[in-house]
Amino acid sequence: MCPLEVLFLKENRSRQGLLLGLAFVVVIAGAFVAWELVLKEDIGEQAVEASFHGFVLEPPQTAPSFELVDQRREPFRLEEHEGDLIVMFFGYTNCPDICPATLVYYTQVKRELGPLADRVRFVFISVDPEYDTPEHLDRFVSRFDPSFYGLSGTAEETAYVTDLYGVYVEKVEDETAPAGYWVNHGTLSYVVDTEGTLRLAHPFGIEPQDIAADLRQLL
Amino acid sequence: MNRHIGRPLSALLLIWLFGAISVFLLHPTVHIEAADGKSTPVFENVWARAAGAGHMSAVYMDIKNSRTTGLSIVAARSDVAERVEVHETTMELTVQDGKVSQVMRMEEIDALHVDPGSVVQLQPGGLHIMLIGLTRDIEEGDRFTLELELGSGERFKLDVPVKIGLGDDDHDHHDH
Repeated sequence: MCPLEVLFLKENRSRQGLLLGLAFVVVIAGAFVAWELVLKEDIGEQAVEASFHGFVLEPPQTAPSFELVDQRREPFRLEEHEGDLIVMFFGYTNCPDICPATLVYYTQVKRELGPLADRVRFVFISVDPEYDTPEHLDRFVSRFDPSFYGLSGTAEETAYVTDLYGVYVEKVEDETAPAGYWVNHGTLSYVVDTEGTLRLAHPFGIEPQDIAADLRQLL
Repeated sequence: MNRHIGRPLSALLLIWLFGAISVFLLHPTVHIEAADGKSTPVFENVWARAAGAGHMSAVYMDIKNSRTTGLSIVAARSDVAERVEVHETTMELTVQDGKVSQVMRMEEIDALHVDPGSVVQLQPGGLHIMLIGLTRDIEEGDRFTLELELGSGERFKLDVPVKIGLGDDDHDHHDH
């Protein structure tokens, strides 16, 4: 028998029951507090409006306009897509983990939306102007869905857009990386509604079903 | 005298229980029963993401170590990639002054440790075995061999299936 049990046996029985009951209550309360303080905050529950899974951007503001080129070398101007819902993600084609995972999520979002997806533009914006040519973006993006846009620009144009949207970009030299560096970057997906207003930000890890539910509300 | 022994002990027990539950809730490592010093590590839910030649991919899995000693993966190789490395993606979400941001950072890891009696999960947005510079397209349904080398010198060959990456339970989507 373990020493703990021996000690408890020496105690008055009702007292022991009371203590165990108390222990149970405290543990449950502790778990609840841990959930409230740590886990909920981790998934951004505090800033989420009840009806949306993503972060609601307040106050709603017109999505900053920009022009880049798509994978077919056609110009892409944000305001020309008014009337459509736009989902934007910033990444790069040598990104091994988060970027392809996000585009795979988008394919599932698109499937969840069914015919409604015709009114949604999924846009992947490169944060790696050195390497990501329209050709590279074409090969990368079309693997997931040929209807997805892969946008790129010069270093200046790219920096202009990432600054506009407050997207963190940090180049990290590493000789083992395919282009000699990795890019640490912001991973929020931004949703621009059909009137050109920047409405939501979805962090990486939100389920495609939940993103689709949010988009459906905006269509 | 006896009545006083229980109190600090009960308090300790409470702290321990709370600690154990917190650790269980917050820590991604799952503890399993330690068996012996010889048992083979188990590699489960292994898959790699489909990608084109020249591009990047990643291999994900659960590594279960039932040994009484820790194990570490110090090298990996495969003929589908020019280089294979263990990397960790960390995600940081901040909500401050009404502003939200989430940043992904990635770094190479010299050795991936799995404690005795533990499972470490490699998954998108976390630990992954990175395939740098694919030597050929790897498409859903393909399989390739990945060799893992432990610090002990042992080598394990894994048969890796290629998937699109929606997870095991999403296989009803093949409608194309």
